[in-house]
Amino acid sequence: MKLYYRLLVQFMGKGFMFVAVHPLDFWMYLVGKIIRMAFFFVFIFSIFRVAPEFAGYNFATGILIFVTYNFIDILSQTFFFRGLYHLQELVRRGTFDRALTYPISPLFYTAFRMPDPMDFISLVPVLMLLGWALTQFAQLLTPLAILLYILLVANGLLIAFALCTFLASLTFFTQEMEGVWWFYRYAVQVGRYPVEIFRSPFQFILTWVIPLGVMITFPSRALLGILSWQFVGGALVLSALLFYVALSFWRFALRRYSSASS
Amino acid sequence: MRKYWFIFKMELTQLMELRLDFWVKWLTSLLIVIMNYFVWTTAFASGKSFGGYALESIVAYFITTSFLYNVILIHRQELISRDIVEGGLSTLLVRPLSYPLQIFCRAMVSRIVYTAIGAVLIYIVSLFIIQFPMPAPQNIALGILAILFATILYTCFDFSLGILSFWLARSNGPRWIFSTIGMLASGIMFPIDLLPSWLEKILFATPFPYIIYFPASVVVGHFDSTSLTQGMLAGFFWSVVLIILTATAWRRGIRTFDGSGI
Repeated sequence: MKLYYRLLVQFMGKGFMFVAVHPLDFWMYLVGKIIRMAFFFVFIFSIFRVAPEFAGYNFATGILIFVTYNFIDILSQTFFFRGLYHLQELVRRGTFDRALTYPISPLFYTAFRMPDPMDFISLVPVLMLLGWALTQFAQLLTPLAILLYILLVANGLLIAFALCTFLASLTFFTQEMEGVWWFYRYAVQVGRYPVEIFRSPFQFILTWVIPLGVMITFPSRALLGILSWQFVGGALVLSALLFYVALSFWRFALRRYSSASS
Repeated sequence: MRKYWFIFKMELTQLMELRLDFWVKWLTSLLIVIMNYFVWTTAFASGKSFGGYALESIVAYFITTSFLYNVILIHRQELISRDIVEGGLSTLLVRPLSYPLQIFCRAMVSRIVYTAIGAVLIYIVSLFIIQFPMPAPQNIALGILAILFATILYTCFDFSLGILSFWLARSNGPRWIFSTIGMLASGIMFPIDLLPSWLEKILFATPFPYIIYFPASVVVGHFDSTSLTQGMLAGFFWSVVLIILTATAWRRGIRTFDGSGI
């Protein structure tokens, strides 16, 4: 465990060095992300101008869901998304062979070897928005609700990791993964909206099959005190199950890997 | 001309090779259309119209933008940038072919194929998933002209971002921020006339609205005769300006190219 922690710190340090070497990239990416976020904020604002009650949510709760989506998305991009996405390149060039010779888990190396600290910094405006949203329903906040929110955000991250691991495993079967990753990115973006806006069967699919509801809407509902214990339990069981399935699939897919260089 | 026809056929073969990528791309577009449909159906639940849009026209707008996104926004900037940075351009320059024409020709293959598939998919969606008014034939005819200008504008924009690598060895950051601003300002996320009027005025002073917003508005019939004439003239004006600017930048850039990697 200590080894993995030290490696994580090393990988993060490498990420910061990369940022320091390319300051222009850093500032451009950061400004671009903030502009994109601002545009979407204007979009949410426009929607609530048309409909002050949007699927039973008001503007502040809409912002809370948007913030939660960004929270999970940014943390996943900071730590593991890039590494798993770029597995395609390692496999194509045959450099994944080297990862298999290291005395650590190949999945750990693949996922965490290239963290993106630039994303981490874009958390600042997200946290500011979260602070604003929290002041809007301060009377609803209890220590238990805050604890549940943090637990379910971590749960959402675990689901995101499981989904990304599952997709990365497909790289061992096909080289046409670019479109699939983009599908994942757009599918996660659906989570910016409450799942309640979707009609059956889309609502069920987006809650439990591609579990965006569990990942993003559930933490917000827990914070507002409108999520039952059964759903909290269901969310935890689902993430554990998805994590187990993703790991098993990764191991199965890894056995199918044949080096491109040999 | 035969040389370019040969490139056209080669690109078509390559596109058909990557079938999974191709279909997943369309699945992603379908997902975006469904997402937008539910977002706006929920927003319009109270029966109000918004900024001159009724529910049907906003749904038609988003379906059209999804189609135009796949047809107009064919990105080649990364390929161009790689050719310049890795020196592949040296080989391509000694061939008896114009490099910009080659890039344009290859992008046109994707555009033609995506137009055909997109039209069929839109018809299927309108029959089985989302009911929306099909555009009038005269709007389609006018829309084709607007799409032609949009294609020229986006090709120049994309090509200019690609050749930034003549001056910047690592142009990812600047390319990313310009692409992000360009995409957001083109009306993909929501119709530009729904934005605050000061922001709308700023955006209309740039070529971006003529890439997606204007052609989409023409196809769905959200225009009057004055705005149509103004839009067409602006599209023509910006096309001429961007062709001149891009050609100048290409000529200057090629003089700075040192063919690293030979």
